[in-house]
Amino acid sequence: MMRNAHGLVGLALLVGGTSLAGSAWLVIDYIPLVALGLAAVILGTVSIAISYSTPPILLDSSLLLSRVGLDNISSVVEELGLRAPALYLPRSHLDGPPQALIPLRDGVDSIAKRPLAHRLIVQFGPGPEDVGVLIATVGSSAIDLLDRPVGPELSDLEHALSSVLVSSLDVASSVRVWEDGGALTVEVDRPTLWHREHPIDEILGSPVAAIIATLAAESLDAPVRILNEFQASRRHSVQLQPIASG
Amino acid sequence: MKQRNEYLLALGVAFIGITVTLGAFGADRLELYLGIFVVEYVALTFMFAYLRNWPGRILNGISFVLITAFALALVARAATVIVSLNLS
Repeated sequence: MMRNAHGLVGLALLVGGTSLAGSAWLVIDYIPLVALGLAAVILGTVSIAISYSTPPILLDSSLLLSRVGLDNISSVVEELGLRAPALYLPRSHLDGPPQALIPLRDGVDSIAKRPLAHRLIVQFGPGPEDVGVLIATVGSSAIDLLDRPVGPELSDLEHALSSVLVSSLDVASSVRVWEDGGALTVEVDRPTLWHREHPIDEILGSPVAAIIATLAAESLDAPVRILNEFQASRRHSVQLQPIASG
Repeated sequence: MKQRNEYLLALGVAFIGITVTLGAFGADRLELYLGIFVVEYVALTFMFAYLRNWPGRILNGISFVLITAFALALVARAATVIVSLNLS
């Protein structure tokens, strides 16, 4: 019960509400105060119930732990001299969970639809420069939060993103998806997770963009590149470009 | 965490709002307050039930207790009325 603030507040409300209701009933004989005490008891009980469902590790703590992994990835990418933005690949293009491919050269506009080996450095095309590094991202883990695969329609993608970002991770209040001239735009309202400070974010995108790109790739069953992302007035927008596969 | 806090805030505002409003109008029937609390609680809990790791069983238990308390308050009030009618 005491493992987080909800438990402490719940206990305080429970004790205070019981005292208020009992005093108001027995001493003052004033029903509205009794009702207020009962309301505090109900709120306290709900707060304690919520404290049991809260994950043992908070989001900020999780980000702190994941930052170590980001630092290592950033070091590898920098050492290899990679600068091109990552391509988020669906499971059909990989021999395993969805990952991001950081290509050696920029401007990759198609990737062969054959499962790439589950290795760090892979060849994704016939040319000598069609080489890249496969990286697991936040999206690779987030996709496991879904109960079923992402459907091909835009509404399916919107539903999947809401399920992950709003219901499961609780880092946004709503998500909207629409198509504009071949590019996908995803708008996330009131995001609580915005990190564009780490050097690797220039290649992989922010954590929210990585989740969006991973799910979009699954929905479209095609690689996806993050074209642009920006945040303004409590809204985070991400533009994605599907890449041809064949 | 944010959605859970919003749920608690909505419950608190709803409970306090209706208590103050009914108190201002001089309502002194506890079963009236309980009945409205039940409606508010069930409606708000249903609205937020989509969240992951939702403590559904405990919150449903609270619903059951509230409804039972409301029913008992109604029965007690009815018994009081019947007894007073019989005495008169």
